[in-house]
Amino acid sequence: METTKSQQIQGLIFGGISLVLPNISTAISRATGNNAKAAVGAIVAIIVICIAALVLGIIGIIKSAGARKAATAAGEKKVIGTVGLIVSIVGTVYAAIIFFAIGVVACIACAAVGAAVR
Amino acid sequence: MYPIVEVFGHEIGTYVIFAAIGVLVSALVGYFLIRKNDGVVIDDMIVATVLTVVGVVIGGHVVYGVTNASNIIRLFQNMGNYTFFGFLEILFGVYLGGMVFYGGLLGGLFSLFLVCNHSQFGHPAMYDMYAVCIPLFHVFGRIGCFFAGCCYGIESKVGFTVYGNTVNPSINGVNRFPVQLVEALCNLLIFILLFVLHRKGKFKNRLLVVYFFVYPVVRFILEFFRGDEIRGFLFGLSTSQIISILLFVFALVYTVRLTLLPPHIRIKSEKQDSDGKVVSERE
Repeated sequence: METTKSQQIQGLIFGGISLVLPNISTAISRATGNNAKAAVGAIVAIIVICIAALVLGIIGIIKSAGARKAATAAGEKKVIGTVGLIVSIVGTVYAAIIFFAIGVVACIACAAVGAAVR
Repeated sequence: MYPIVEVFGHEIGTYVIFAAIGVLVSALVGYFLIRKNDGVVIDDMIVATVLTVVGVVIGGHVVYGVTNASNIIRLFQNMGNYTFFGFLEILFGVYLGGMVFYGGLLGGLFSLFLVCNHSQFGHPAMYDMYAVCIPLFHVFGRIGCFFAGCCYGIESKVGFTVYGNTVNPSINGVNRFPVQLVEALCNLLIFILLFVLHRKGKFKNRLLVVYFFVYPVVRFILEFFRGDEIRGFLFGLSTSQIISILLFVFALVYTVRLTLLPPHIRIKSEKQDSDGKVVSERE
């Protein structure tokens, strides 16, 4: 009976969430209209979502790596753990790309709204 | 200058791209160095790399904020003059938006300490690996700095003229000393030195101390050739020069203390010889 399968699945779930969340953030950015304040609000939401994706991706990496080590020590299969590790790494990198890309836009947008409101 | 590039349809800072390449190359070289150590597997390397990068990013931004402490205090004192988003933009985008190398170095080291001492993924060999990989990563980081244009050299007849710097437009059209590229070259030489020492088994478990002897001297001298004034200046020295002095003194004190320790305390490890007698390996 496999004992590390649940740990491997947990890592896969965290990795999957970290991969999906940035796509939600890019969908929000596309759905935002031309209103400057709404755009800034969307950017803030995107940044929060990307940070959440980064954190979950890192947790997924740690859980998947730990599950793989435990599976190796127990002589069990580690396919799910390996998939979870890859998905977590891809999700973390993707979230980082979106985060840094949005960060460039956010600084410009916030400055524009700040100037317009004052 | 090419401060921004497009990746998968998103605009990203050039420094981030070079830093990411540096992390990847450094991690691969680091894994190559310690993969034959008992107990170190690719999973350990991946987790240690990720958590060290987190420490580097946080540490770099925190120390950058320290160099802007007076501006941040002034910003909070005048909060009422800004809109909410304008305040956030200036605080996180300007006063906390940059990174200082030494902050990243110490932040990464602290993260590695946590990994090695409080997780199943750490291994003592990672400290020497970190010492070898830091200058290699720094090579890519400094090239990224050059492309980004966030920091630059003093006006000089030696060097070349840059154009298209949108971060600091005032430096365009002026011949400047390429201090970032010179530092990248120095870091490459430091990496080669530490790599050779590691492969030969010299200064085992003390390569970080060797790095703290060499790099601070290089950085202290090169700081005089930097023309950007964004870093803090104390007692006529820049913040990085003061940190360089502190790290050099730390390495000196550590080495002197180690040399002065009685021999029986400086035993590094014990093993049995062919007759079953315990033989101590000393420092």
